[in-house]
Amino acid sequence: MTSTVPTPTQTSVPPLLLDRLRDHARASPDALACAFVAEDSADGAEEEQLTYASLDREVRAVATGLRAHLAPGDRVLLLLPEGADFVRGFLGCMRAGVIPVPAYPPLPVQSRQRVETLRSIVADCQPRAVLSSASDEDVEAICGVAPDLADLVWRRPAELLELTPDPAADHPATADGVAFLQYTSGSTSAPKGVVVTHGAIAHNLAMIAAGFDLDEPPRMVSWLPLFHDMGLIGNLLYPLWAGGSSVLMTPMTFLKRPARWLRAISRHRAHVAGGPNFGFDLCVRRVRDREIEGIDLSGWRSAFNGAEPVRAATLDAFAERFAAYGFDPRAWWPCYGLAEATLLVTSVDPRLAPRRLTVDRDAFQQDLVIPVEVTAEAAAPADDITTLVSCGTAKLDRTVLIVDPETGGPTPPGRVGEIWIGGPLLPVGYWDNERATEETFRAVPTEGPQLPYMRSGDLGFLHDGELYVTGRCKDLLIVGGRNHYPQDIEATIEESHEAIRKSCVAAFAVDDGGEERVVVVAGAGQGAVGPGENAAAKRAEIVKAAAVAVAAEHGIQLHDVAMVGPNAVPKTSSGKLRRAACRSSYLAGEYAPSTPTEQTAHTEES
Amino acid sequence: MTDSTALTPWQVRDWLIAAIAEMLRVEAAEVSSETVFRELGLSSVQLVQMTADLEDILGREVPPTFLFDCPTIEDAVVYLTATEPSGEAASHG
Repeated sequence: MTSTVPTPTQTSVPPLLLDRLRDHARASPDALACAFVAEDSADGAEEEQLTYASLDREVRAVATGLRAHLAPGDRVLLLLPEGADFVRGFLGCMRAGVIPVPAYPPLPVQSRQRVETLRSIVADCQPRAVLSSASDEDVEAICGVAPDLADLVWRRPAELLELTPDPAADHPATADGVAFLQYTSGSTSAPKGVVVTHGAIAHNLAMIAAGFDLDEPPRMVSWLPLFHDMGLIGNLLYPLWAGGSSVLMTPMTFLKRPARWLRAISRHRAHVAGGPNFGFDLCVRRVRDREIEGIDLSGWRSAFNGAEPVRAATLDAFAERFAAYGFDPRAWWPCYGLAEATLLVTSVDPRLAPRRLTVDRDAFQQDLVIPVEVTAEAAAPADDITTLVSCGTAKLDRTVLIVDPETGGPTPPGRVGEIWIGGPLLPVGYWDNERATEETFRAVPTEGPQLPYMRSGDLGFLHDGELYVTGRCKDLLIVGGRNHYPQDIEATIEESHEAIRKSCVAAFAVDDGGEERVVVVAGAGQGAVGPGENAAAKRAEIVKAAAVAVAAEHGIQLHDVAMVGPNAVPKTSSGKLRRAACRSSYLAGEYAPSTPTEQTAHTEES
Repeated sequence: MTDSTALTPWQVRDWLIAAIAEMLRVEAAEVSSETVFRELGLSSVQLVQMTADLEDILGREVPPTFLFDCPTIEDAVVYLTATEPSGEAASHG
């Protein structure tokens, strides 16, 4: 059995967030807790700041306002953008003992997918109130498309700040008390609410602190959405727990001009800042020299990279692009985590460049990890190898097992398996979903430690004690006895024809009478979509190019390639591909006309 | 920001079409100025980045909501050049 920490040990619960916040307010009332970068601020300047003392007062005022309508344990939906109201609202709920449920504000309401997600969250957790800062007009629009929200109590956090904090509204937190519900992205099914306790938060924050290993309170700058675990736990709750500061901007502020994030990191002398891999790609692609004149990134100690595959090419390109501004490649901090583990599971050593492992590609597709020595003089042909970036090790008493997902038994070293996560103070399950809780949170391996584990649904392996994350169980394609990762096939297709849009290709398996066949839904630009002979001819051309490339690169014959508009490929609110939803739509015939490749592309069996 | 040199509608139209063609990976000739933005299939990230690029070439701020007010490329050309300080009198390129 491969395991980063073989025997879980008893630990006490680290100090709870609410207790730490009160301590900081007393010990350093004037220290900066949060700052908010103005929307469309040219230089990443902050418009609003909260000290620990003002945050404490406001949080208690919000708690007082909430307790006028609600009892401890009631759920409160948070429909708030990344800003001061979110911070006050979220912590105010926790202080009052009511359960905050952060969700994406479905504005504009035209987005059907966002509205559907919100409605299923509401149906699942049955909130009694909504905290929102939307205009009356927008509230009316939201209630128009989600009528279940109309009967709830709606409050604006800013209005509650006038109230005099009532000590009776302060509900004492306990380690096993429910702190909040984190709805998962729903990449594979309807949203499920992870029940995160105060103890689970404290434990994860202590792990994060051990992982960054800073010698002073962290200063952070974040552009991540706060209704997701990485933004909320990693970028807001961690610096607050540790007595540091969090500078927040909205995702849109960053996406419009990524230079604002880098400028704010420099200005705030941030130690820690990061996000998913694509955010770093965006900086490389979009930031102009004149936008970052004079910035200094040399204080950036940990550039965390998580939530999607960490790409070696991105790490290199970013480090090279910003070396002249003081970026240190040893700052890279690849990490692995998920909402079902509160947030963090593993991370690399903060003082070393992350390890990389180059493996044989053919073997890797069969779940075998065979390291390949790569030297500058005699580099193996790039087609035969895959380079993976380590996500490091688990901290404190968190444990990681690699398990055969079919048998629940151990996976021998050097083999890819499902990542199971153990140790104390994990989230306790999914809200009101005993069956999914049992399946996901109470798995017991057939051999080895007879302890409950959380099944991540993610695949990976351990090498030299470090975790390498390779994909998700459910998306895996098995063709002719060989495993293929859909990401790889999608990347090949993206490159196969210029009309195919990046990140708008989904590859998945369909059962074709006992055999798995690979189907691809590809989003293409104008000229390839819609009626007319020209569009049809263009589609045939793209389909042929895609089929030829996949056959050549992966040795797979595509069963079908459906060409669609880029928006027809379903994604989560954070932009992650929803392959299972795409597959369902395909099987329901929603992507007609489809073009069987057998008719358009004739490639040789390899 | 670049100098606030006024661009002609002709230049703005060409720029928008070239930018959209690049994002969609099609030939500029395939993008009609009567095309409705929402039907192009551009993501919100692409649209917000296009707004940032427009600010750079126009040398002034463009409200993030302007695409809601301008359904087509032609509408956007009219909007962007009508509010240009010295507008359409400027020489074309």
